[in-house]
Formats: sequence, structure tokens, C-alpha cells
Amino acid sequence: MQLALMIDLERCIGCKSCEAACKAEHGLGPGENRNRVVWLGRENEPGLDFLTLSCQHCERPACLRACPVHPKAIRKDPETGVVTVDESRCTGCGECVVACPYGAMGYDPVDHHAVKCDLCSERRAEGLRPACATVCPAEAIAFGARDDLLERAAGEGRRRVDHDAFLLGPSNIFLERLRDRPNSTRRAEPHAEADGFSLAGRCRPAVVDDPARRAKLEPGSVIFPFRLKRSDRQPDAVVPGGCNICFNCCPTQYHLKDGRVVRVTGNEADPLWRGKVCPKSQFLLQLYNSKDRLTRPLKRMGARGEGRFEPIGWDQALDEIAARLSAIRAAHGPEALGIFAGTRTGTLTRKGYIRLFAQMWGTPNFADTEAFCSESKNVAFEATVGIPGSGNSYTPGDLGSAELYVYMGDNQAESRPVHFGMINDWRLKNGARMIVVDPRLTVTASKADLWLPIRTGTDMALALALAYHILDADLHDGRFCDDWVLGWREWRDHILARGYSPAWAAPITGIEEQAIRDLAEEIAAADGCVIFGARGLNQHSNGTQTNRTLLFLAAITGNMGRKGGTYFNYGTPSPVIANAPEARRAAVEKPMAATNPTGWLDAMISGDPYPMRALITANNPLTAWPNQAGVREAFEALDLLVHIELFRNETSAYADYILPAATGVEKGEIGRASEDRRVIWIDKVVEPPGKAKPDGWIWIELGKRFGFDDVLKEEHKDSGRFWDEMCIDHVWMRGCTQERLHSVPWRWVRTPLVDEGAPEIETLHLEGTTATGHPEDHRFPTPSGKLEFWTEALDARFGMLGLSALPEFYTDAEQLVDLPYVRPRGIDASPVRNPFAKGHVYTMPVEIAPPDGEAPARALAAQGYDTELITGRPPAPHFHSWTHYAWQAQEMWPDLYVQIHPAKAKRLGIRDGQEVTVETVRGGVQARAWIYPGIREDAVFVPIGWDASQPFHPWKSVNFLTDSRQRDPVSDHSNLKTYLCRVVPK
Amino acid sequence: MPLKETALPASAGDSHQLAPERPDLSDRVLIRLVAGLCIGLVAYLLLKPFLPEAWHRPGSPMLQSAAIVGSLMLLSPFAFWLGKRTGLSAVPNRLYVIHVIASTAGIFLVAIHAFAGFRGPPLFIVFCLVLLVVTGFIGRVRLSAPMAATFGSKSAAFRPVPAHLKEEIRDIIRQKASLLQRLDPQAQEALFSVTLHHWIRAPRLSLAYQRLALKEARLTGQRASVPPVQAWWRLLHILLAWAFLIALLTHAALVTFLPGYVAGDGEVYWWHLGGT
Repeated sequence: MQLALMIDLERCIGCKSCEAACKAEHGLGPGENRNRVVWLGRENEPGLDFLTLSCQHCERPACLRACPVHPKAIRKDPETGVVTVDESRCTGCGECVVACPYGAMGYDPVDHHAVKCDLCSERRAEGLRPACATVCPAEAIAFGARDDLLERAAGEGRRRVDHDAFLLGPSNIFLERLRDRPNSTRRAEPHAEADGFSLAGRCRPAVVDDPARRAKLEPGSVIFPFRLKRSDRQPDAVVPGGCNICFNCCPTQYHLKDGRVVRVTGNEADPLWRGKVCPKSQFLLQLYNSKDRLTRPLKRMGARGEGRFEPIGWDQALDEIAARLSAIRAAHGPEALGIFAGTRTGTLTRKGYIRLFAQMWGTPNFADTEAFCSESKNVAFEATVGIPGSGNSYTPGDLGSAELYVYMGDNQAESRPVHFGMINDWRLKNGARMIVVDPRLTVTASKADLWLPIRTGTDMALALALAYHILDADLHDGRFCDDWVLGWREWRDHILARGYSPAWAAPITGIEEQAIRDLAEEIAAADGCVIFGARGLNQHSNGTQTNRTLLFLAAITGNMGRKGGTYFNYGTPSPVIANAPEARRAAVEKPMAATNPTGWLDAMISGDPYPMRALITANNPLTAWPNQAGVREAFEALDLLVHIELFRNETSAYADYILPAATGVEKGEIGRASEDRRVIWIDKVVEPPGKAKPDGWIWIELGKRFGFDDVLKEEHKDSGRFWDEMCIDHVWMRGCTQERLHSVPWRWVRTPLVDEGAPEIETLHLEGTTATGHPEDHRFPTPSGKLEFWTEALDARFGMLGLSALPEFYTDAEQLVDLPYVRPRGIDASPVRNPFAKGHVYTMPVEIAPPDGEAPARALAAQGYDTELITGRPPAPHFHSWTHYAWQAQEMWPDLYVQIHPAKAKRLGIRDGQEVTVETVRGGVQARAWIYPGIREDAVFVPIGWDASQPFHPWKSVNFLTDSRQRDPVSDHSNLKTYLCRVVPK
Repeated sequence: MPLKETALPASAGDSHQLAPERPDLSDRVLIRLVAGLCIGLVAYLLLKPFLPEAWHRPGSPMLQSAAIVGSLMLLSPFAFWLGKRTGLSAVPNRLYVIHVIASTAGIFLVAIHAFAGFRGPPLFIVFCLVLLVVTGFIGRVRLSAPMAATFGSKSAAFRPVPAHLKEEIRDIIRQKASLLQRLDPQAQEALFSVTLHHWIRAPRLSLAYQRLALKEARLTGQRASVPPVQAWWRLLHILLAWAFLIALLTHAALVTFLPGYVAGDGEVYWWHLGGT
């Protein structure tokens, strides 16, 4: 029986999780491959495919016949047909590498011998599947007897790729992309080959898997336990937990040996995940064992930014910080301390330990990354639905039952690969349609039936036009609107009166009028349409109104409060909230300087509206915040900057004190804000490196110096106890106890859980249900119990800011075409209290300005800024700066890149892989060009996450190009997506 | 995934065995060896003017002895060549390690012999040795990373091929299968390549088979699928080794049995067997 892998090109999303799993399973180092996912673009048209390559276990293996050793170092098992290499017999001559026409023979460049896929013989011996097939988020890799796989493919009506050009009889099977699926009339790739998949006309981007860049991954970069013998990597314990990196919150297993993590895998016991996990989770292994981790408190010796530090003890560090904080408070008040905690810090820290500290200290200036990620969608959902997200779940019965998936500004395949894998699986199984609206042919778009390349920042115009057509043609769900929507008629009258028609939207969005009508009709007709939105919508100055408009669109088509239909924007975070007793909270006398921490820069630089003299920050503001030049100026002006982090980064260089933190299984915490209300618990199972400490420990110890230890108690250093005692005092969370979390082998439960015995709710807000914690018959958790488009109260809140509850189109200030934008009202206007902000904060009211001669875009265009800059998430192996310390992520995607259309590149004389400069009026950054037809010709894309101090491939952050003042007036969310720039070849 | 899909034969995975220890020379050791050889030879050349007469005559008892010992050491690559092709060594890389270390020492000894009288046809031997070191060094140290980077870099198998190509390959397979019935009836064409045993037992059939194998490799573009240096270094290294061996044997035969011819008008002062 010939064993084989079957790889589905329709499913593969190029995330390289299989590569990560293979290297971890076999302890492979840099350059050493048993498999690889090859990214393939098209030379002259939009297109993206991924070829997962490993040994084909040929019937006539060219490698075996080329091996000059006798008996052969390569053999083909007569029973399983698996071709293996006996590394002890290999002399490293490389003849097999030359001979294999698939390029699927690996080579160990350190120990000089062939390496190859043997379909994980050790795992098979234990009855397990190969590692690659186990982790694949997209279920693109199936393993089994070749005949069974062929039967399965035939049963599904799938065509096989003919890749036997040389009659070698490859056993692995590649399934062609789908071309004639039911209901599918147009594909994202309009020119899919008639004769099947071929590499002809395809090209590999120079910026991915660049062998020339591996020189930096010298053997010294390889950390425990890679390149160790299998016996040295054999775990003595396996504990369940979760990944704490992204919103997918994947259930994982931590494999431990002698108190160290030797492997991170998916949790196959989970009935939904079944072991699927993306590369990031697996890179946690390199995070825990990295030699670049901070292990001792450090005190600055040189000038800010110089990077000279001396190690000190914890007591000295905390005593000195406390003394300096006390002096600042005495001189400037408690609000002079700002606290920024990004998501690396952990939910428990942000919503628990720091929140308690800030309440007792008395500063209103505590912010996390919401103003860069989600605040506009939070505000939109809370105003409309009553909670900051959708009530749906990634289950076959809920999101899996939709007929239509529309992605707008959401590259889910790269940002949450496992969730996208689920959606894509359901799409394929159910014959659902997928449509992607994005300026780029993202990986998500490459899987879609239809890709609509929209102009950045104009999704609101599209959403308005979709609604216009639906309402104008009477395609809406009238019963749902009448029963469950307040103000829908006002909104209908508003958009009809404004003339937000498809004809109006077409020149704004760059999408043909008929395509808009078609999409509207498809959404209206679908029995279950899920509209996904994400950062591509949130990170604009119109983020709140765009999100509201899409919520309205989903509602009028009956796609709210049902299974298989919703507007979904990174789901609903569970309300983890710790509160100090009222009596222990310090009085906060001044308003927050701004919801968005970049609104604090003036307070740091010039004391406006009051001085901010100290900042305790986690993460990496000197990369992640927009307007990097301004952030540097502000940080230089501080009296005290404390940086709590895992690695030294650009922010560390400016810090007075660097405190080494712990993460994940080193401290015990919950995962990130999961997309579908799941809370996943991660037990502490290993010690942090050196003298690093959990964030909670640091805040408790600092709190002791101010007498906060009656609330931030010593025993709360036990994160599990802290969770039960302080973090779940909310009607949604009371049943989410440690006991409940530990009652399932996958360590997660879905909230709301009103008590420990409450059943999990798959879909919230179904007809006939009552929202948790709300009066009877309140189906939605709004004051009215209905979805609220427009009410007088709501309109008054928007009116305070100069806007209307009925969204009026405007976009970001820097556009290539003349479009309305928002600007602060005239100089005589006074700040108003922002009625949408969670805290007490003032903001300037705005006005929607016409694109007249004063428009900043026109001035910039006159200066030669002729291109729209889009920023966003890099491919799946990277997540902000976390993964830039993992050598394997660097091997996959080493360099900052700029995606640029071939026509523009040709005009500028830019080659693929060439270094170029991208400039805005605020500065410039270097990046390598990725010539890519799958991007609008007038736009370029530069990903986030790189910083100039990273160990392998440092590049300046893209946020040297962005602006801190271009923010959504409602949510204070930063515009990170639309800036005018120019590209200059180097 | 349901277990049915992974319904494996009972022996699945049994073939995996822990590999015995495989000795190897790291890049660092190889660089040090070559650097040591170069330094040693330069040091010898610098010191040579100050050395006694015997160090200036290649056939002096000391230098002739050095040459003989060095030559014997330089035969170690052939032991490696033989060992990996005959199954005499369970871990052929042991012989590789020996071949590198012994060859390096051998080159040093032969070189100090040669440097005493650096002229005439024996220079070809030195030339071969230099190229052997260069090709060996390139193959192992410089090409390891490109060899690893070859993974996933080929595309021919996933491109359309001319219609006649598959027919030509099919024909070669037919011919090979037919030849194999006479060359090694138990063997399968799919897994077969000519071994030393076949070359000795049936050289003509082996040659015919090898020509077909090479033709197939050409048609499938094997060597064209990688950079030329990676494609040809090993072949060049082996050819140089054989050229060296022939030249060495010729030199040894001439100085031993035809010393007068070698000496010309000069003195035959070295140990020899033939008449002057």
C-alpha cells in the first residue's frame, strides 16, 4: 500500500505552518527542509497560489537511482512505498539533490547530508499522522493510502494536477484549484488555466524564502531544541493550554522536558480544532527558548536611545521607579503617569493587574492597542448592538452554515489562518460563495470566487451603495427591520436622499456600478451572509461609521441575530474586568489626555492639556505607534520611561528601566480576546528565563511600594487565583472559573456563562432569546433591546462631535481622488466630551470638509506624492514584533517589503527584490520591492512589525510614514491605512 | 482526520531506525584543514632556503620517503570511493573523513617533495592536487548552503513538457528494463542503478545501461536544474582524482623503473629499480 500526502491547492493558504511543524518534529535548522510552501504569483495578472512541496515518494525515485552509495543511502519501502534516506549511509555528495526534478530533496548544510520527508516515520510508528497534516490550518494536507486518497478526490469530483512530467510516478497528489463550483461564476483569478495547474507564467517573489538572506541565520541562531537528537527532544510531559499570540486563541499542547518547552503543537483533543494551529503558535517554542530574551532588570547608563544599560536587581529597579513616580506625582499629579500595555502583555495583565494599579494610583491615562486595532468597531457595535462585537461562533452550525461570505478589509487567511481554514472548509463543503473586497489580492482574496479591488478608505461608500440598492429595490428583510431595528426608516430615507447609489459609489470605490448591484443582490438573496470586517475598515478616520454602515447592511438583510449570518469584526471580547473597591480608588480629577495614546504626545512634549512626565509601557510603541518621529520626540521629553518586555526593542533604547517579563506558560494567563467569545486558559508550567517575572508579579511588587497590596495582593501572583477572585465579577463571566476552564481537555469555554454550570451559547441574540444580563424580551443588549441605527439620543451623541447618527460619507484626508474628509472645526471651536469614549475624555468636534483647494491631498499630490500607501499585517508567520525573534519566521519572511504593481514598478525601473524607499511627507523607510500584479496600480502596501533593532533583519518601522493626528473623531482610532506616498528606487 | 484515512500497514514506520553515529567534518574544521595546509606549505617555502641540502632535492631519501608516504595517503580517497560503492563500510562517511584528513596530510608531504624541484611533467600532479582541494572545498563548504537552498527551487516537473518527451522517456525505460533482464534480472528498473559489481561482471551491459540512464537524466534536465558548479563539481572532482592517480602511477613507474629517462643529463640519486 503506497502512502502519500494529498495537497489541495484550493485549500492551501501558504501559511507555512506545515514547515514549522516539520522543522519542530525533526529538529531541523536553518536552510534544512523536508517540506516547503512555495509562494507563486503571476507575472502579468493578479494571482496567488501555494505549492506545498515535499518528497513525492516516486514510483521511480530519481534520487534513489542517483545515489552512488551501495547499498543505497536512499531506499523505498516495499510495503508503504515511502522513500527514506539513511543519513548514516549518506556521504553528502548531493547527487540526489541534483537528480530530484521536484526540488524536494533537502540537505543539511551543517552536517552535510541529505534530508528528506519520510512521512514522519516515528509518528507513523505511534499511529499518528505526519506533523504537517496534523497542524495544517486549512486542512489542505491529507495523509493516507494513496488509493484511498484518490478515491476520496474522485468522490469529491476533484481534478488532480499532472505533475508527472518525467514518468517518475510521484505518489503525492495535488488537487487542482476549483473552477466550476456550484454558484461560482467568477473567480478571483480570471485566467485560471484551462489545462490545469502549471508553474508556467508564475513567479516566486524574491522576498519570501530568500536563500541569500539565510546567511544571517548562522548556526548560532538556532536555539534549543532544534538540531538536537530526537531523544534529547523527547518530552516527559504534555500539558494542554492555548496560544497567547493572536485572536484565533488556538488550543495547543506544550511538550515539556526537564522543565523546558521542547515543542508546541495543536491540541488534537479539541473537537473543533483537531490539532490545527498556525506557525506562530509553534514559534512560541523559539520565544520561550530565545537567547535574546531579557533576563535581568536593566538601568539606562547612556543617553536616551543610545542603548547603554547596566543590570540591576529587582528591588533596586522597583524602589527607584517608585521613588521617581512619587516625585512626579507630587510635582504634576497622578495623571502625569501614562500606562500603555499592548496585547503582548496579556489580557489578565491589562484588564486585571494594571487596571487595579491605575485605579489606585489615580491616572486616567491607561491605554492598550484598541485605538490602533479595534476601537472604531467597538464603538460601532456598542452603539448598535450593545456589546462590542457579534454573537456568532466558528462552528459548523453557525458561521459554517452561511451561503455567502463577504470579506471587506479582512485578510483573515493571513491574520487568523485557522479560522479562515474553517470558513474555507465550510465554503467548500457547502458550496458557499466567497467574495473579497480589498485593494490587494490578499491570500484571502486568492481563495475567493470574486475579488473586488476597492480604493483604500472607501469601504463606507461601498457599504452605503449596497444598502441603497437593497433598500431602493426593496430587497431588505422588512419584517426583521420593523421588529428589531430602531431608526431603519430614517436611515433608508437618509441614504436615498443623499443619493448614495451604486452609480455614485463606482468612481469613489473603483468598483463597477454593476458589480456593486450584483453584490448587493447576492447579499440580500443569500440564506445566511457573513460579512467579515477587520483592521482594513477599523484603521481609517471613518472606521466607526464604516463599521456602523456594514452593521446596518447586515441587519436590513436579516443577517443579525441568526446562525450563518452576521457582520463579524474580530468578534466579541469577553468582559474580563478587575475593579478595586470604590474606597480604594483614587479620585481622578482630570480627564484622560486622549483615548488614543498618540494623543498623549502633546502632553509629553508641551504639557497640553497637562504634563505627562512618566510612561510605563509594554510592547514596542517606538515601532507600533504612528508618527514615529513625534513619538521619539515625546519619549525623549519624559522624566521616566519604564519598559516591560520580553526582548529589547527600539522602545527599550529610550527607557530608563527595562524590566524583563514572562509570557504564556511562563506566567499563566488567558489567551487574547478570542474572536468568538472563547476564553482559553494557559497554565504556568515553566519558569521564566533568568530573573524575568510575570507582568502581574511586577505590578504587584510595584504596587506594594505605594501601599496597594491590600488589593493587589501577594497571593494574586498566582494568576489562577487572581482570575477567580478578581477578574470574573461580571454577569458574562461568573461561570468562567478555573474549575470550569480545567474541566475540558482543550482548556477553553465560551462566554457568557452566568454560573459554573451554565451551558455555552453557540449563537447570541437568536429570536426568542434574551440578552445575558438584560430584561426579558431584550433580544439585543441595547437600551431598547433592538438594534439601534438612529435614535434621538444616539443622534445627540454624534451631534456633539459634529457628525450624525446617520452615516454620511467621508474618508481619510490623503486620497488620490477628491473625496470629502473630516477636519477639526474652526479655531473658535471648543473641545467637547466624547460621548463614545469609555473614560472621561475631551475631543475637538469636526466637520466634513469638501475636497476643495484646502484639502491636504491636493497639496501632497502637487508635491509628487502620487501613490496610496496601505499598511497592514504581514503574512501568517509574523505577528507584530513577536515573531521577529524567531529564526524560522525570519527564514520564511526576512525582509520588510513593499508590494507594488508591475506597471508602476516598470515606470520607476524597479525590479523584484530591489531595495526602494517609500516616502510620505512625514519621512521615509526602506523596503524590498515585491512586484505584484494583485494590488491596485495606484497603491502600495507595506507591512507592520519590523523594527530597526531586531536581531536578524532590522528595518525601520512603516510608522515613520504614518500620522498620529489623523484619527477617527468618534473612536479616536488611528488612520493607519491611507496615506499619500511616493516610491523612489534606491 | 478519521483514522480510516490513516489506516496504515502494520509495519508502517517500522523501517525507521535510529541512525548510527555518522562522523563528519564541519565547515569550520574543513576551513582549518585547508588553511593549515596552506600555512604549512608557505612556512615550508619560507624556511626552505635555510634547510640542509637534502630538503632541496626531491629524490633525497627524506623527501622521497615523504612522497611515498604522502602518495599512499593520497590513495585514501580511492578507499572512500571503493568503500561507498561496495558496501564494505556501514557508515561510508567515516571513509570520507579519513579521505579528507589523509589527503590533506598526503598533499603536504607530496608538496614538500614537489617544491624541492618544482618543474617538469610532475607539475601536473601538483596541478591536480590543487584542483582537487579547490573542488572538494567548494563542494563541501561553499555549496552546502546552495545545495540546501535547492529545496523548492525547481519547477520543471510542474511545467508543461513537449509531447514527445514523455514518449522518449518511456522508450528509455523500456530499453532499460529490457537490458536489466540480462544485467540484473532480479532488479527493478525503477530502483536500479549500475554498481561497481555490475561494471566488473558485465561491463558492456553496464555501459549500455549507464548511457540510457544518462540520456534520461539529460532529458529530464537533472544537471541543468541546478547551477553548473553544483551540477558538475563532483564529477570534476572524481575525474581529477583519477587523473591524479594515473599521473602519480606514471610518475612512480618512471622514477622507479626508468630513472635515467627521468634524470636526463642529471644525476640519478634517488632510490630506483630500473637501470640508469
